[in-house]
Amino acid sequence: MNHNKYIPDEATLMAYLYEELEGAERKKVEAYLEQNPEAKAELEGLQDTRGIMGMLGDQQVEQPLILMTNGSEQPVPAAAMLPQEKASHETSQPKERLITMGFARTLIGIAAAIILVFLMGALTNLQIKSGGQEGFAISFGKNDTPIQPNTQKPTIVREEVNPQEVQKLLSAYMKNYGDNFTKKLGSLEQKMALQNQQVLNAQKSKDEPSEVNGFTVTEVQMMLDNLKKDNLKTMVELIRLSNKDQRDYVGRAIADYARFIDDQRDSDLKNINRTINNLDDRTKSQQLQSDRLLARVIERVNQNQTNKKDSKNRR
Amino acid sequence: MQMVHDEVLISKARNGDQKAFNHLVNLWHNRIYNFAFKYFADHDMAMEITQSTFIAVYKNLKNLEQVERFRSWLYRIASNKCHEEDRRTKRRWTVSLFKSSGKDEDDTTPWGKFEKDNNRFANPDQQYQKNELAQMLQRALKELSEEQRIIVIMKEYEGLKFREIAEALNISENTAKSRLYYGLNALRKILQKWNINKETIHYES
Repeated sequence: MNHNKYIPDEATLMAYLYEELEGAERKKVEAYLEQNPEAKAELEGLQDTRGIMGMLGDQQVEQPLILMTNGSEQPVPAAAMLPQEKASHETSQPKERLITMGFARTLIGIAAAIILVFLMGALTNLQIKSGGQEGFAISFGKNDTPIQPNTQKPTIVREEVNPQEVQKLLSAYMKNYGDNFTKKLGSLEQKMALQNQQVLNAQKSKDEPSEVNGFTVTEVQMMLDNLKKDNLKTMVELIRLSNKDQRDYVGRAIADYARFIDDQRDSDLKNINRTINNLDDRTKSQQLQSDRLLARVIERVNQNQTNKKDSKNRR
Repeated sequence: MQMVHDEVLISKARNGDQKAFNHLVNLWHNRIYNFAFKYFADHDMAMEITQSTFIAVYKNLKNLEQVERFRSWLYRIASNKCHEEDRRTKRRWTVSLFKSSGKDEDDTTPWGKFEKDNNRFANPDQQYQKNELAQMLQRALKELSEEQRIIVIMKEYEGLKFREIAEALNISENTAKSRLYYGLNALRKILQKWNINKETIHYES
């Protein structure tokens, strides 16, 4: 009698049909269905309908990512990013890292360029200064000049010192010579006077040879001195020129080398950047793939669960 | 387990983790697409619904207070989008809808779009019959009223609990249950009318 009185409403029946009915109530419905074959048949009919409708499976969407990831990554920020973007710590991190990386790279580049410019400037400055001073004053030596010019400098210094000494010697020599000459002249005059007296007194033929000999000796010495001077001048000039050439060449070589190193570093950085980008792309695509796979697996598991439920229901 | 996984993802996505959000989209994309597809039986429409649903999710994820309710919340958005779209298209296509419902059986154009073969290596004959059955069932779903259809889809295909359906549609659980009851009954009648039953299906497949 009790059972007959109890008539579950549609809602309860549905809960029963979909196994969302708990213990006591479920038993009640079961008992009711046992007593009411029509109701049971109706419910079984609905169960069959469910079974048939269950034949309608899922559609597989091709490339959901093209639509969704692009759709969610690009248009959404444009549409509604303002508050989120500020709050998005984790997403902005990689971007920031990239930015800082690029920034740091440019900074390093600038720093390297500045250092290079300084280096080059130091080199060229020294060259110009020393070159200019050298050009004007060959005799002056510079102690502060860098090591490389120094290696060549000593030769100049010695050469530069030498002319001084030579000049001194020369002047001393000339003085001596002049003194000698005046002395000689004096003695000659005396001699002449004597000889004149002698000639006047006796003969005139002895004057000439002595005078000719004296003149030829001085002439030869003068010529030799001139030659020495010329040689010295040309030697100094030559050494100065070759020194300048060498320094120019070294400067150019260093500049070339620096440029070469810079280029190499640039290309290295580019390569590194490219590989990093590749790696990034690959990891991203792999992540997406794994996401997709995971989604599929989870879906499959869920499907299996529902299928099991269905088969249980049918039993 | 999925829910736990989801909850982690959702809380991450809520904090603006775009990766987590993409992951979430990947996980739910297929479900929402199929939900919308069963509702409209139209690929383009389903794609549109899916996209707009996830854009709405992205915009409003912050307002989701209880992460556990994500599923019903998601389906609520999706069903709202379906409803909006339905109204819009109905207003636009009143005449053509009327015509197609008049032609009923021999009108094949609405179904042409989802005649894609998912497993093309299967026996073509079986495949054809399977497709045909799917089309019939899809059409049967479309015969239902919108209210009933959406509940049938949510319960039968998406496996939501009555509680979740009630949350998603903002109705009471009992209303959801009785609507499902009427929906299933209506489907049964339609299938009977079209002579689709256990036996005919088993013969066919």
